[in-house]
Amino acid sequence: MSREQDFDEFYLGSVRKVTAQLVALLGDAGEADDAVQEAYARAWQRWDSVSRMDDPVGWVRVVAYRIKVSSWRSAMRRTVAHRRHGPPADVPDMSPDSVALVAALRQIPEAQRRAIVLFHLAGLTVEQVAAEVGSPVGTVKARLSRGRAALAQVLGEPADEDVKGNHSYA
Amino acid sequence: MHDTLDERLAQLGGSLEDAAAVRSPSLVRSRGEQIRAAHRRRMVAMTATGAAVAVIGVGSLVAFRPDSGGHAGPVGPGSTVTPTAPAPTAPSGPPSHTAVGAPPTKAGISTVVVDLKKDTMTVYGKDQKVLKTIPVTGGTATHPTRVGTFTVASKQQHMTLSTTMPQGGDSYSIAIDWVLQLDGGGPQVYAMPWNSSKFGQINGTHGDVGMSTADAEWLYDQLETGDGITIR
Repeated sequence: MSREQDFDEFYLGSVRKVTAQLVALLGDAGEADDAVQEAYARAWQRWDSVSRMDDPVGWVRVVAYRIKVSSWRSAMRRTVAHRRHGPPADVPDMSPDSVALVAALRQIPEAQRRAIVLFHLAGLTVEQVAAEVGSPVGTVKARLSRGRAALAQVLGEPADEDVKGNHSYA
Repeated sequence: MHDTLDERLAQLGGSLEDAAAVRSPSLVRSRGEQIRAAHRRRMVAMTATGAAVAVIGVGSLVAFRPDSGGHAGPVGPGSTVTPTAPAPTAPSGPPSHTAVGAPPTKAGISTVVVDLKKDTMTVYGKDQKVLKTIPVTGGTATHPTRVGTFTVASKQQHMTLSTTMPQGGDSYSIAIDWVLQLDGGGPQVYAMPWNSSKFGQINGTHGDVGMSTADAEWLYDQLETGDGITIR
């Protein structure tokens, strides 16, 4: 398989998942889309390294997230991306529950939101979350637990723990 | 009744995936290639400032202990070496290939392999015959050189390496020449004339790969950005 085919398969196979995770992380579909496309472009730029990594999808996710964390860079890049690609592709409307959840995620602290998105949406283990964010496992567990409680409060419902018993992040 | 939070989050993932924009992969690739081209133009623009930085750097080199290992300065455990004020040169020749990690294209080179046990770099020609064997020195046991296959991310004729010590200890900066910076966490490969007694003998750096100035210049001329180097 050629390098191009190899990359195209990787992109088409993972871009939806990564975009979904970035929307949940950033709370804005347009910004997430820009960051993700830019991160994949960078992945192609250094594809020989990225393709050999254990977790190329994780690399793209981290790069996309870092692109957005620095806001002045994002503003510049957004301008460039719009000039280059035109308006964002036609995006179907999110379901009302998705909108409510994304809005709620925006209201909890960033570190907790990141832990929750990586664990619940990206399906990482606690250890993998810890490795990606560079924090100890215990810290990640605490963020997950507090984040869920905060999220439940924002959504105006009792925390899961009350309904389902203690949630284990072991 | 609401679903549980777990279920709602799981559904959120699926719902957001359905809404995600997918572009043509070839468009994404061409954007990646534009980043490379822009980077190359920046490097050319910085060439002029590079010469000035290099002159300052040479002065520092004399001031410090040129015979110490590694980055030729008082580097201790836990210190960090960060290249600052990079003074890149214009990439030699036209951008002959944009693909990353393509096999070396000039001078009929096929493969470059660094053997850290023998402290040699072997450069193979297209016919798989040995074109040149270069005595090198790599990282010590406490500062091992990363092994693997890396890509030449950038080439810089001169640059300044500066080291800052934890607890505000000594710090220094030195000028280095004929630098190949490797991608993916790989070391830098450059001329380390202060380590000449170690080439082909022992590993004595803090992780980077050093060789004589003549060999480093030769290698610099042979390899292009995007070429691969295997370190083992």
